[in-house]
Amino acid sequence: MKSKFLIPLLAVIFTTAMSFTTARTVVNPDFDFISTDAGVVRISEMQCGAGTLNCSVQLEPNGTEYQVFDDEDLTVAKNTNNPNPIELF
Amino acid sequence: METKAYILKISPVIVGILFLYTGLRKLWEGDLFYHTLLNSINIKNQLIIEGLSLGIPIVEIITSLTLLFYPKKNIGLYISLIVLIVYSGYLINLLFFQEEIPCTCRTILPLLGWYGHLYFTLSLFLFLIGLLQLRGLKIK
Repeated sequence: MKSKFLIPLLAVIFTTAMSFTTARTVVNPDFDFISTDAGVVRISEMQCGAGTLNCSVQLEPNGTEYQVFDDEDLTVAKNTNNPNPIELF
Repeated sequence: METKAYILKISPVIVGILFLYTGLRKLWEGDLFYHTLLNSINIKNQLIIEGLSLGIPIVEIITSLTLLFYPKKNIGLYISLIVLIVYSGYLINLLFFQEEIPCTCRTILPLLGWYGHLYFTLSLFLFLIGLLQLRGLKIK
């Protein structure tokens, strides 16, 4: 009888804590981020779509391709189906 | 206790944890979820979107609490199935019938991506059907 209540209760406490600590409140839905030599640069939201390839952008013709991330910490990479980088020039 | 009994006892708890996690996280990341809905479905009425962005997490949390605490676990499993069908429909619509897909920053399991989400949801759907078969389809 104890386990019928105790296990779900522990599950609720554990899950609430997990969801709270992993919630990404710093992600801004209007911007993406790239890592350049000058540091992390904020760019406008890219419509990368979905896929298995890394979404990337180019800031100048034949320039370096920069991978696009959702968050400033560069932990959530965006995916795409398009093998070509998005041109931002 | 035999293996089948363990599976029957633990599985609703695991599914309940999953629903509770996704529901609570949608609440914590409320504005992000709101923007996802705004960008991904063809409803432009802000009041409806606001209602959905609040209502969906609440439904998920109620589902999880039913799975975790309500003695008749099959009711929770059936509600989970309905939620998963709706969510799969949303994902299929998004991936195959929409021109643009919102960024992955607003998904619950960001590392999976949108297709990963669809596969995960369909796998969970099959898992729940299997679980209901094991438990018996009657509400008990």
